[in-house]
Amino acid sequence: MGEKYEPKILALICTYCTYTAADMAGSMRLQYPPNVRVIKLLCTGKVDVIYLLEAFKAGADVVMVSGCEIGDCHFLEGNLRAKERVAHAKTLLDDLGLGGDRLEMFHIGASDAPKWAEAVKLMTRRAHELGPNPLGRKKPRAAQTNIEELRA
Amino acid sequence: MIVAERKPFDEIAAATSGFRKVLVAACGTCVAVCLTGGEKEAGILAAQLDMAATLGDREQVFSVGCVERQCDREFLEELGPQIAEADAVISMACGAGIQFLAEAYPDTPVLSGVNTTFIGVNEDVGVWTERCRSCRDCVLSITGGVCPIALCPKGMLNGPCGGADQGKCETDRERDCAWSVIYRRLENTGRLANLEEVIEARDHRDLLPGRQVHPAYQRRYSAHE
Amino acid sequence: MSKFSDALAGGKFVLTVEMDPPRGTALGDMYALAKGLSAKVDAVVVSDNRGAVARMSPVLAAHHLIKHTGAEVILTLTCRDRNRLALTSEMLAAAAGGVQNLLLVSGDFVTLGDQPGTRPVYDLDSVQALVLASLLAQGRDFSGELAEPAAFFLGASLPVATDPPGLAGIKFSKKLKAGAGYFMTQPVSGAADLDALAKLPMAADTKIIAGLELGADQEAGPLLELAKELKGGGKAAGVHLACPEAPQRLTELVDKLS
Repeated sequence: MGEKYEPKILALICTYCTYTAADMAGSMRLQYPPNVRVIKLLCTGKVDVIYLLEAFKAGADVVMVSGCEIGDCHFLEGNLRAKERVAHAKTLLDDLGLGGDRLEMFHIGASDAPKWAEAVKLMTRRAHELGPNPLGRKKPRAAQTNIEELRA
Repeated sequence: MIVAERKPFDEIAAATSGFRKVLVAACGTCVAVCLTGGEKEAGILAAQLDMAATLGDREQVFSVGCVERQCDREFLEELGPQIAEADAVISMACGAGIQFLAEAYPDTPVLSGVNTTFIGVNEDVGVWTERCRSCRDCVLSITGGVCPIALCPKGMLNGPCGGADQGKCETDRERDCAWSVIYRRLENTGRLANLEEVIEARDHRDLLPGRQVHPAYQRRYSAHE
Repeated sequence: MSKFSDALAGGKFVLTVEMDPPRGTALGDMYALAKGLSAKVDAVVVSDNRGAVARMSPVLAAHHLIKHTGAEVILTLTCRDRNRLALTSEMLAAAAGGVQNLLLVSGDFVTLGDQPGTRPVYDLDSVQALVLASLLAQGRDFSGELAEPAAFFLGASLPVATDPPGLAGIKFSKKLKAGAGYFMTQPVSGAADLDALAKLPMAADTKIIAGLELGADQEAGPLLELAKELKGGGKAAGVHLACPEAPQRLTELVDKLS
C-alpha cells in the first residue's frame, strides 16, 4: 500500500467514430492522460450491462462507453441502445453500493479528436475525485460468471 | 406469458445475507422473454451481489445456473449438481417455478429473486401489459376479445361503472375504460347484441387452488389416487 | 311502496340530499342536520364509505336516522366492500331496520380512497347487485328461499356521458331489466349534460334524478339556478344535492329550493 493512485479507465468504444477520433488525437499529438485502456467494438450496441459490471468487478476505477453522435450510428440505433443500457447499469451500480458515477456514456464523432481528449480528461478527473474502486484493491478475484456464456 | 419484475436489490441482498454459497437459478422461458429472470439477468444479479459482498467484506460466492423451465421436473433435475454445492438458491423464475424448485430440492433454502406480476403480452420493446387473470370462466367470446376482469379494476361484467370519464378509467385517466374498448370492438364486428343480456354473477371458485388433468390422463389420475 | 317512490310516481319534482355517516361513533350531527331537512326533502341518501374512506356502517346509520328523525332514507350500498353474502345480510338488516329505498352502486375504487392497498371486493357488479335485491323482494337469494322477503324501491347510478355514447344505453337498459325503479346521475354542471341521456329511448318512462354537487367554498348561486332550470325543464325527475365537504350548507340550499 501507499502506492500512488493511478486510475484504471476502461473505454468501450465504437470503431466507426470514437476509435477513429482517438486515432486522430494521436496523429494530432493531443495530450491526454495515459490511464485509459481501450476496447474497440464494431458498435456500442454490443455493450451489454454484464460487460460493464464485470469491468468493475475486475477492478476498473471508471468505465466509459463512447459511440457515435445521436443519429449517426452505422447500425442506426446501436448507440441509443448503449445509452439506455449505460443508464440502467448506473442504477445497478448505485444499488450495490459502488455508485453509478463511475460509469459514463459519451457520443464522439470520427472527426472530433479534441472531444475524445476532453472525455478522457473528464473521466480521469472523475476517477481521482471518486478514489480507487474498492473492489480492485480488496482482493484479486476471478470472474465468477463466464462472460462468453452470457453473451449467447 | 407470465411477466415478472426483479425484486429490489437490497431485499435480495438481505435475504442472502446468511448464506455463503448462493446459486442464482435462471429460467429460460417467460421470465427470460420479459428480461427479468433469464440467464443474462441472473448473471447481472450475481455480479451485483458479488460486488456488494466484497464491498461489505462478506465471504460469499455467487454462481449462475439456468434451466429451460423451472415449472417442469425434467428440467429442474439438471440443477441438481449445482444445488448440491449451494447453501441457498435464488430462483429468478415466476412464483410457480420458484415453488416447484423448492419442492424438488426441499433441503435447500430457496429464495425469490423476482415478483411475479401478471399474465400479459409484449406490447412494445421493453413494455408488457396485463391481459388475463386466469379466472377459469372466460367471457372473451362475449366481450369482443377484451377482458373486463383483467382490464377493469372492478371486474364489471355488465358495462362500465359510473367512474368512467370520456372513455377513461377512474383509477387512471390515461387508461382506456375496458368497456369503451369492448363496445367499440363489438360495434366494429356487428356484435353489439352480445351486450343485451345481463351476465350473471361469476363463480369465484377460481380462488381454490387449481388442478387440471388432461382428458387423456383422467383414468390414470382418478383410478389410482 | 315508500314515501319516496310515491312522490316520484305522483310526478313530483323530488329533492334529495346526501349525508355521510360519521367517521366515528356519534350520530348527533347527522340527526341535527336531518331533523332540519327531513320535512323539506323527499329523501336523505345515506352514503356508503364515500370516496373509499371508512365510516360508520350506513345500514346502522340509516336505521337510527329513521328511528330518531323520521326521515325518509335511501340507503347506498356499494359492491366495493361486500361480497354477495354480505350484501344479502346488509339488505336484510336494512329491511329489518326500516329502510325502504336502496341505491346500489359499484363504488369508488379503493385507490381513490385513503387506504389504496385495501382489497376491493366487487364480487357482484352494480347490475348483479340489483338482480340480488330483486330476488330478495321475491323472498329468495341466489341460492334459495328466505324466511321473509325484503322489498325495496331500487335505485341505480347512471353516467351522464360515455365514450362511445352508446355505452350508456347498455348499462341503462340492463339496470332497468334488473329492477331499478329510479336513477341518480353522476354530478352534472349544466342542464345540457343530461341531453345525451334524455335522448335514449328508455329515458322516456324513467325517473332520472340529476346529481348536483357543491364544493365547500363554492358559490351556491349557479347550482340553485341549475336546480330551478331542471325543475321546469322536464329533463330530470328531481335533483339530488351533495356538499360532502360542508354538509351543513345543505340546509341553506334546501331552504332556497323548497
